[in-house]
Amino acid sequence: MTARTNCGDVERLLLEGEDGALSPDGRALVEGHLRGCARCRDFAADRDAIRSELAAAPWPALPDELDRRTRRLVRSVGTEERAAALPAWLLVAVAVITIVTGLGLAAALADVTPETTWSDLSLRGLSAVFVIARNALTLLLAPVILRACRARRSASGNA
Amino acid sequence: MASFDELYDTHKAHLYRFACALSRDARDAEDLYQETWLRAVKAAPGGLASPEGEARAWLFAIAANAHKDLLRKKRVRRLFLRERSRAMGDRAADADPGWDVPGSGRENGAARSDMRMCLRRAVARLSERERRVFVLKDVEGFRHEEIGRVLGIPEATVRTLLHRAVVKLRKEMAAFGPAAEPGPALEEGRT
Repeated sequence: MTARTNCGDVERLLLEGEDGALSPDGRALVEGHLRGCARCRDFAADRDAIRSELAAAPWPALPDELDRRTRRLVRSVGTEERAAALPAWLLVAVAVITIVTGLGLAAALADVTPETTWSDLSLRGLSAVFVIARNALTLLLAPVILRACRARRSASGNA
Repeated sequence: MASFDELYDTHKAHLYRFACALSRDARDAEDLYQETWLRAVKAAPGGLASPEGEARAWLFAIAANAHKDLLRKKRVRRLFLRERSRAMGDRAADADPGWDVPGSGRENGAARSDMRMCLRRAVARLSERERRVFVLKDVEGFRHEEIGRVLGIPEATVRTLLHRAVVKLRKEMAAFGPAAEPGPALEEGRT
Protein backbone atom coordinates (compact mmCIF):
# COMPACT_ATOMS: atom_id res chain seq x y z
CA MET A 1 0.00 0.00 0.00
CA THR A 2 1.48 3.31 -0.98
CA ALA A 3 0.94 6.56 0.83
CA ARG A 4 -0.40 8.36 -2.22
CA THR A 5 -3.00 5.93 -3.45
CA ASN A 6 -4.65 4.63 -0.32
CA CYS A 7 -4.66 7.35 2.29
CA GLY A 8 -8.48 7.44 2.34
CA ASP A 9 -8.59 3.72 3.08
CA VAL A 10 -6.06 4.09 5.85
CA GLU A 11 -8.08 6.93 7.38
CA ARG A 12 -11.14 4.70 7.38
CA LEU A 13 -9.15 1.87 8.93
CA LEU A 14 -7.88 4.23 11.61
CA LEU A 15 -11.47 5.13 12.50
CA GLU A 16 -12.47 1.49 12.42
CA GLY A 17 -9.63 0.68 14.78
CA GLU A 18 -11.15 2.96 17.42
CA ASP A 19 -13.71 0.24 18.08
CA GLY A 20 -10.94 -2.32 18.42
CA ALA A 21 -12.35 -3.99 15.33
CA LEU A 22 -9.13 -3.99 13.34
CA SER A 23 -7.57 -7.36 12.51
CA PRO A 24 -3.85 -7.87 13.21
CA ASP A 25 -3.25 -7.64 9.46
CA GLY A 26 -5.20 -4.40 9.24
CA ARG A 27 -3.29 -2.97 12.17
CA ALA A 28 0.04 -3.91 10.61
CA LEU A 29 -1.08 -2.32 7.34
CA VAL A 30 -2.02 0.93 9.07
CA GLU A 31 1.17 1.06 11.12
CA GLY A 32 3.29 0.38 8.06
CA HIS A 33 1.50 3.09 6.10
CA LEU A 34 1.77 5.63 8.92
CA ARG A 35 5.53 5.18 9.08
CA GLY A 36 5.87 6.39 5.52
CA CYS A 37 3.02 8.89 5.22
CA ALA A 38 3.13 12.24 6.98
CA ARG A 39 -0.37 13.14 5.73
CA CYS A 40 -1.95 10.15 7.48
CA ARG A 41 0.13 10.76 10.60
CA ASP A 42 -1.36 14.24 10.68
CA PHE A 43 -4.82 12.77 10.24
CA ALA A 44 -4.25 10.39 13.15
CA ALA A 45 -2.87 13.20 15.32
CA ASP A 46 -5.80 15.49 14.49
CA ARG A 47 -8.25 12.71 15.16
CA ASP A 48 -6.69 12.17 18.60
CA ALA A 49 -6.83 15.91 19.24
CA ILE A 50 -10.51 16.10 18.32
CA ARG A 51 -11.35 13.16 20.56
CA SER A 52 -9.41 14.46 23.53
CA GLU A 53 -10.86 17.96 23.12
CA LEU A 54 -14.37 16.55 23.10
CA ALA A 55 -13.65 14.28 26.05
CA ALA A 56 -12.38 17.24 28.05
CA ALA A 57 -15.07 19.67 26.92
CA PRO A 58 -17.50 20.74 29.64
CA TRP A 59 -21.12 19.91 28.91
CA PRO A 60 -24.15 21.85 30.03
CA ALA A 61 -25.90 20.27 32.98
CA LEU A 62 -29.58 19.48 32.73
CA PRO A 63 -31.38 22.57 34.08
CA ASP A 64 -33.38 21.76 37.24
CA GLU A 65 -36.45 23.46 35.88
CA LEU A 66 -36.41 21.39 32.67
CA ASP A 67 -35.78 18.25 34.70
CA ARG A 68 -38.80 18.94 36.93
CA ARG A 69 -41.02 19.89 33.99
CA THR A 70 -40.09 16.79 32.00
CA ARG A 71 -40.47 14.47 34.97
CA ARG A 72 -43.96 15.90 35.62
CA LEU A 73 -44.88 15.50 31.96
CA VAL A 74 -43.56 11.95 31.80
CA ARG A 75 -45.44 10.94 34.94
CA SER A 76 -48.75 12.38 33.78
CA VAL A 77 -48.48 10.81 30.32
CA GLY A 78 -47.25 7.51 31.79
CA THR A 79 -50.27 7.30 34.11
CA GLU A 80 -52.64 8.02 31.23
CA GLU A 81 -50.95 5.46 28.98
CA ARG A 82 -51.04 2.80 31.68
CA ALA A 83 -54.73 3.51 32.34
CA ALA A 84 -55.47 3.40 28.64
CA ALA A 85 -53.73 0.07 28.09
CA LEU A 86 -56.25 -2.78 28.52
CA PRO A 87 -55.00 -6.07 29.96
CA ALA A 88 -55.15 -9.05 27.60
CA TRP A 89 -57.59 -11.03 29.77
CA LEU A 90 -60.07 -8.16 29.57
CA LEU A 91 -59.85 -8.10 25.78
CA VAL A 92 -60.46 -11.87 25.66
CA ALA A 93 -63.44 -11.52 28.03
CA VAL A 94 -64.90 -8.74 25.88
CA ALA A 95 -64.47 -10.88 22.75
CA VAL A 96 -66.19 -13.88 24.39
CA ILE A 97 -69.09 -11.74 25.67
CA THR A 98 -69.51 -10.16 22.22
CA ILE A 99 -69.65 -13.54 20.47
CA VAL A 100 -72.07 -15.04 23.02
CA THR A 101 -74.31 -11.96 22.87
CA GLY A 102 -74.28 -12.02 19.07
CA LEU A 103 -75.23 -15.69 18.95
CA GLY A 104 -77.97 -15.13 21.56
CA LEU A 105 -79.40 -12.17 19.66
CA ALA A 106 -79.30 -14.08 16.38
CA ALA A 107 -81.24 -16.94 17.97
CA ALA A 108 -83.74 -14.58 19.65
CA LEU A 109 -84.41 -12.67 16.43
CA ALA A 110 -84.44 -15.67 14.12
CA ASP A 111 -88.23 -15.43 13.59
CA VAL A 112 -88.28 -11.69 12.93
CA THR A 113 -89.14 -10.69 9.35
CA PRO A 114 -89.68 -7.26 7.76
CA GLU A 115 -93.42 -7.74 8.27
CA THR A 116 -93.07 -8.39 12.00
CA THR A 117 -94.63 -5.64 14.19
CA TRP A 118 -93.88 -4.75 17.82
CA SER A 119 -97.00 -6.59 18.99
CA ASP A 120 -95.85 -9.78 17.23
CA LEU A 121 -92.54 -9.82 19.11
CA SER A 122 -92.15 -12.43 21.81
CA LEU A 123 -90.59 -11.63 25.17
CA ARG A 124 -87.28 -13.04 23.88
CA GLY A 125 -87.48 -10.81 20.82
CA LEU A 126 -88.24 -7.72 22.91
CA SER A 127 -85.30 -8.54 25.21
CA ALA A 128 -83.03 -8.83 22.17
CA VAL A 129 -84.17 -5.42 20.84
CA PHE A 130 -83.59 -3.93 24.31
CA VAL A 131 -80.04 -5.36 24.42
CA ILE A 132 -79.26 -3.98 20.93
CA ALA A 133 -80.56 -0.52 21.85
CA ARG A 134 -78.63 -0.50 25.14
CA ASN A 135 -75.35 -1.55 23.43
CA ALA A 136 -75.79 1.10 20.75
CA LEU A 137 -76.29 3.78 23.38
CA THR A 138 -73.26 2.56 25.34
CA LEU A 139 -71.04 2.70 22.25
CA LEU A 140 -72.33 6.18 21.46
CA LEU A 141 -71.80 7.62 24.93
CA ALA A 142 -68.71 5.72 26.14
CA PRO A 143 -66.13 8.01 24.49
CA VAL A 144 -67.83 11.11 25.91
CA ILE A 145 -67.95 9.62 29.41
CA LEU A 146 -64.32 8.42 29.23
CA ARG A 147 -63.14 11.84 28.06
CA ALA A 148 -65.01 13.56 30.87
CA CYS A 149 -63.52 11.14 33.42
CA ARG A 150 -59.98 11.72 32.12
CA ALA A 151 -60.43 15.49 32.15
CA ARG A 152 -61.68 15.33 35.76
CA ARG A 153 -58.74 13.09 36.75
CA SER A 154 -56.11 15.32 35.16
CA ALA A 155 -57.72 18.43 36.68
CA SER A 156 -57.54 16.89 40.15
CA GLY A 157 -53.96 15.72 39.43
CA ASN A 158 -52.85 19.24 38.50
CA ALA A 159 -54.51 20.69 41.57
CA MET B 1 -37.38 -4.61 34.97
CA ALA B 2 -36.44 -0.92 35.25
CA SER B 3 -39.33 1.39 36.08
CA PHE B 4 -39.71 4.48 33.96
CA ASP B 5 -38.48 6.67 36.82
CA GLU B 6 -35.29 4.60 37.05
CA LEU B 7 -34.87 4.79 33.30
CA TYR B 8 -35.29 8.56 33.43
CA ASP B 9 -32.78 9.04 36.25
CA THR B 10 -30.18 6.81 34.62
CA HIS B 11 -30.25 8.39 31.18
CA LYS B 12 -31.44 11.97 31.62
CA ALA B 13 -27.96 13.56 31.70
CA HIS B 14 -26.75 11.65 28.62
CA LEU B 15 -29.89 12.43 26.66
CA TYR B 16 -29.68 16.10 27.52
CA ARG B 17 -26.05 16.19 26.39
CA PHE B 18 -27.04 14.45 23.16
CA ALA B 19 -29.89 16.91 22.62
CA CYS B 20 -27.52 19.83 23.21
CA ALA B 21 -24.91 18.41 20.84
CA LEU B 22 -27.46 17.99 18.06
CA SER B 23 -29.30 21.28 18.52
CA ARG B 24 -28.36 24.74 17.45
CA ASP B 25 -29.61 26.47 20.59
CA ALA B 26 -30.77 25.73 24.11
CA ARG B 27 -34.46 26.02 23.22
CA ASP B 28 -34.17 23.42 20.46
CA ALA B 29 -32.27 21.18 22.86
CA GLU B 30 -35.03 21.47 25.46
CA ASP B 31 -37.70 20.68 22.87
CA LEU B 32 -35.78 17.66 21.67
CA TYR B 33 -35.15 16.46 25.22
CA GLN B 34 -38.83 16.69 26.19
CA GLU B 35 -40.04 15.18 22.94
CA THR B 36 -37.69 12.23 23.42
CA TRP B 37 -39.01 11.44 26.89
CA LEU B 38 -42.59 11.97 25.81
CA ARG B 39 -42.19 9.42 23.00
CA ALA B 40 -40.37 7.04 25.30
CA VAL B 41 -43.06 7.08 27.97
CA LYS B 42 -45.76 6.60 25.37
CA ALA B 43 -43.92 3.59 23.96
CA ALA B 44 -43.16 2.01 27.34
CA PRO B 45 -45.25 3.61 30.11
CA GLY B 46 -44.35 0.92 32.63
CA GLY B 47 -40.60 0.99 31.99
CA LEU B 48 -38.35 -1.45 30.16
CA ALA B 49 -37.35 -5.03 30.78
CA SER B 50 -34.35 -4.88 28.42
CA PRO B 51 -30.75 -4.72 29.64
CA GLU B 52 -29.11 -1.38 30.39
CA GLY B 53 -27.21 -1.09 27.07
CA GLU B 54 -30.29 -1.84 25.00
CA ALA B 55 -32.38 0.65 26.93
CA ARG B 56 -29.73 3.28 26.23
CA ALA B 57 -29.65 2.47 22.53
CA TRP B 58 -33.46 2.49 22.44
CA LEU B 59 -33.62 5.94 24.03
CA PHE B 60 -30.97 7.37 21.72
CA ALA B 61 -32.82 5.94 18.73
CA ILE B 62 -35.95 7.75 19.91
CA ALA B 63 -33.93 10.95 20.34
CA ALA B 64 -32.41 10.63 16.86
CA ASN B 65 -35.83 10.08 15.29
CA ALA B 66 -37.31 12.95 17.25
CA HIS B 67 -34.46 15.13 16.03
CA LYS B 68 -35.20 14.18 12.42
CA ASP B 69 -38.90 14.92 12.89
CA LEU B 70 -38.29 18.27 14.57
CA LEU B 71 -35.96 19.27 11.74
CA ARG B 72 -38.55 18.20 9.17
CA LYS B 73 -41.18 20.33 10.90
CA LYS B 74 -38.77 23.25 10.89
CA ARG B 75 -38.10 22.78 7.19
CA VAL B 76 -41.82 22.80 6.42
CA ARG B 77 -42.21 25.96 8.46
CA ARG B 78 -39.33 27.51 6.52
CA LEU B 79 -41.05 26.79 3.25
CA PHE B 80 -43.85 29.06 4.36
CA LEU B 81 -41.60 31.70 5.83
CA ARG B 82 -38.71 31.47 3.40
CA GLU B 83 -37.45 35.01 3.44
CA ARG B 84 -37.62 35.40 7.16
CA SER B 85 -36.12 32.02 7.88
CA ARG B 86 -33.26 32.65 5.45
CA ALA B 87 -32.10 35.49 7.60
CA MET B 88 -32.59 33.41 10.72
CA GLY B 89 -30.76 30.46 9.15
CA ASP B 90 -27.75 32.63 8.39
CA ARG B 91 -27.67 33.77 11.94
CA ALA B 92 -28.06 30.22 13.21
CA ALA B 93 -25.10 29.03 11.15
CA ASP B 94 -22.87 31.55 12.87
CA ALA B 95 -24.34 31.03 16.30
CA ASP B 96 -22.73 28.81 18.88
CA PRO B 97 -24.24 25.38 19.04
CA GLY B 98 -26.46 24.42 21.94
CA TRP B 99 -23.70 22.62 23.79
CA ASP B 100 -21.75 25.75 24.44
CA VAL B 101 -21.26 26.37 28.12
CA PRO B 102 -21.16 30.06 28.91
CA GLY B 103 -17.90 31.12 30.48
CA SER B 104 -16.29 27.70 30.18
CA GLY B 105 -12.83 27.14 28.82
CA ARG B 106 -11.32 30.56 29.53
CA GLU B 107 -9.82 29.29 32.76
CA ASN B 108 -7.84 26.70 30.78
CA GLY B 109 -6.22 29.29 28.58
CA ALA B 110 -7.36 31.35 25.65
CA ALA B 111 -5.91 29.02 23.00
CA ARG B 112 -7.73 25.98 24.34
CA SER B 113 -10.95 27.95 24.71
CA ASP B 114 -10.74 29.25 21.14
CA MET B 115 -9.91 25.78 19.91
CA ARG B 116 -12.96 24.36 21.67
CA MET B 117 -15.19 27.12 20.33
CA CYS B 118 -13.88 26.46 16.85
CA LEU B 119 -14.50 22.74 17.24
CA ARG B 120 -18.03 23.38 18.45
CA ARG B 121 -18.79 25.59 15.49
CA ALA B 122 -17.27 23.07 13.13
CA VAL B 123 -19.45 20.30 14.59
CA ALA B 124 -22.49 22.55 14.27
CA ARG B 125 -21.70 22.98 10.56
CA LEU B 126 -21.69 19.26 9.82
CA SER B 127 -24.71 17.90 7.99
CA GLU B 128 -27.40 16.52 10.30
CA ARG B 129 -26.56 12.91 9.46
CA GLU B 130 -22.84 13.42 9.94
CA ARG B 131 -23.43 15.25 13.20
CA ARG B 132 -25.66 12.51 14.57
CA VAL B 133 -23.05 9.85 13.79
CA PHE B 134 -20.15 11.96 15.02
CA VAL B 135 -21.82 12.87 18.31
CA LEU B 136 -22.93 9.31 18.99
CA LYS B 137 -19.35 8.15 18.39
CA ASP B 138 -17.20 10.83 19.92
CA VAL B 139 -19.44 12.23 22.62
CA GLU B 140 -21.59 9.28 23.62
CA GLY B 141 -19.02 6.58 22.94
CA PHE B 142 -21.22 4.23 20.91
CA ARG B 143 -19.54 1.67 18.68
CA HIS B 144 -20.07 1.76 14.91
CA GLU B 145 -22.38 -1.22 15.02
CA GLU B 146 -24.47 0.33 17.83
CA ILE B 147 -24.71 3.62 15.95
CA GLY B 148 -26.02 1.70 12.95
CA ARG B 149 -28.74 0.17 15.11
CA VAL B 150 -29.59 3.47 16.81
CA LEU B 151 -29.91 5.35 13.53
CA GLY B 152 -31.25 2.47 11.47
CA ILE B 153 -28.47 2.66 8.89
CA PRO B 154 -25.85 0.11 7.73
CA GLU B 155 -22.54 0.03 9.58
CA ALA B 156 -20.71 0.87 6.36
CA THR B 157 -22.75 4.09 6.11
CA VAL B 158 -21.82 4.91 9.70
CA ARG B 159 -18.14 4.57 8.82
CA THR B 160 -18.52 6.69 5.71
CA LEU B 161 -20.40 9.44 7.55
CA LEU B 162 -17.90 9.44 10.41
CA HIS B 163 -14.98 9.63 8.01
CA ARG B 164 -16.63 12.48 6.13
CA ALA B 165 -17.33 14.28 9.42
CA VAL B 166 -13.73 13.98 10.60
CA VAL B 167 -12.38 15.18 7.24
CA LYS B 168 -14.72 18.20 7.35
CA LEU B 169 -13.79 18.96 10.95
CA ARG B 170 -10.10 18.87 10.08
CA LYS B 171 -10.68 21.31 7.24
CA GLU B 172 -12.66 23.64 9.49
CA MET B 173 -10.07 23.35 12.21
CA ALA B 174 -7.29 24.19 9.75
CA ALA B 175 -8.57 27.73 9.65
CA PHE B 176 -8.03 27.90 13.40
CA GLY B 177 -4.23 27.62 13.28
CA PRO B 178 -1.65 29.53 11.29
CA ALA B 179 -0.96 26.64 8.91
CA ALA B 180 -2.97 26.22 5.75
CA GLU B 181 -3.10 22.42 5.96
CA PRO B 182 -4.95 20.50 8.63
CA GLY B 183 -2.76 18.66 11.07
CA PRO B 184 -0.47 21.24 12.62
CA ALA B 185 -3.54 23.42 13.11
CA LEU B 186 -4.94 21.04 15.68
CA GLU B 187 -1.59 20.70 17.39
CA GLU B 188 -1.81 24.40 18.30
CA GLY B 189 -4.91 23.83 20.39
CA ARG B 190 -3.28 21.15 22.46
CA THR B 191 -0.78 23.44 24.09
